Amino acid sequence: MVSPLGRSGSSVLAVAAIAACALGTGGCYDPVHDSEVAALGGEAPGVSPGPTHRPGQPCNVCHGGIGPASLRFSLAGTVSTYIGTSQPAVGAKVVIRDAAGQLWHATTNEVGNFFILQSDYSPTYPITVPSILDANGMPVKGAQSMTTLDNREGSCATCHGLTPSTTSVGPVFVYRTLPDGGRL
Amino acid sequence: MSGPLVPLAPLLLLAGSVALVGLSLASCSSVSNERIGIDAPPFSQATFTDLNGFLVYRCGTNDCHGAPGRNFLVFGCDGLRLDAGQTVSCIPDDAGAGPTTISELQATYRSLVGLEPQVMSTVFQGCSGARSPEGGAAYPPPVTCHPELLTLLEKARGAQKHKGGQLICLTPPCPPGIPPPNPYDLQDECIVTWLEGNVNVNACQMATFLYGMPVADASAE
Repeated sequence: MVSPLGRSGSSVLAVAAIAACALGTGGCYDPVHDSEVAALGGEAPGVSPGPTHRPGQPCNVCHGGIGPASLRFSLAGTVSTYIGTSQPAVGAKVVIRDAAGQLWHATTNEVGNFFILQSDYSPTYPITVPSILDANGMPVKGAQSMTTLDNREGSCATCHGLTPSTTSVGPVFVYRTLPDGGRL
Repeated sequence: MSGPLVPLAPLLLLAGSVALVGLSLASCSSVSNERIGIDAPPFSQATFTDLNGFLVYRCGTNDCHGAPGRNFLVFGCDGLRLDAGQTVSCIPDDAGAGPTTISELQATYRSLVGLEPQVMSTVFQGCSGARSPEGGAAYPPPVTCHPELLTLLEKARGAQKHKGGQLICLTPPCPPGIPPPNPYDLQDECIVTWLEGNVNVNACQMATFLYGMPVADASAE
């Protein structure tokens, strides 16, 4: 039996349907992104998704616009108090300067996380983080200053991974020395 | 006019056999396994250190050409490290940080000249030996020198799509953060004079510090 469209019409429809299916599934499937999300693992026990979850992880893997998080960040990261420790820097002000000369700052929360919504501020790259201020907004003696450019990356942890390596300088920290003046 | 038909099948069979034998012989004959040469500015630590320093700072951050998956890779202490025991930072520490090594300079050099080997050869042949009347680096380059053939420069100049945007500005108006040429763009001068085989070290050093230099202390602003 031949449909009203005829044999050639049926073939065209079939091809179109297959193409539509392929586009429909392929368009939503990004294996690279999916593997990046999967590599982050699950939530830590007792911590729900929110401002204090996943400190130290590259926030924009999920919050960069591709998902799965719906909240979109332009910049986000985690700051430790001392080099080589996981003690969070609470209330630190991370100052960002972009290529257009605009300054912006974000304040870290109780786990050291900070984030800036895309809807609030989207920097002109490259950007730098010239200083990290203390909870009173004052320059911190001995605080580190970022000496290289961030050319595109919204997640601090992409370059500031938890462990120093060939592609990571280590976590962002405020103080290079410990409270007793020593170094790790 | 008519005549006897020549049977084609035996002829085709014969031709095919000859072709096969020919191919076999060709595949058995000696094929040069010498490395394919690239005409490019020769490597030396003295001439490449400052260019590499500029490239690391401007292109080789760990989110761009200091990320392992890129075609054009830049190695250096403030970006991608070459050896597994090294960590990112030029300040020496026990974790493996320290200054850029000569192996890293060589690795960047190989990546740079091997990115487009044929184009690099063409560009170098046209640019090599260019000198100013005073004997120094020639910039702007002579008409025989066409560095714009290199994708590296085309992307940096904004003539091709570049995720990192336009970094070199030869003609105003310039994008935010890129100073207008005065009278030339030092980044461009650094790369082009290197292609001429007479790198302007001063241009490279100035380019490293002038373009997008972080503010030492923003709290003072």
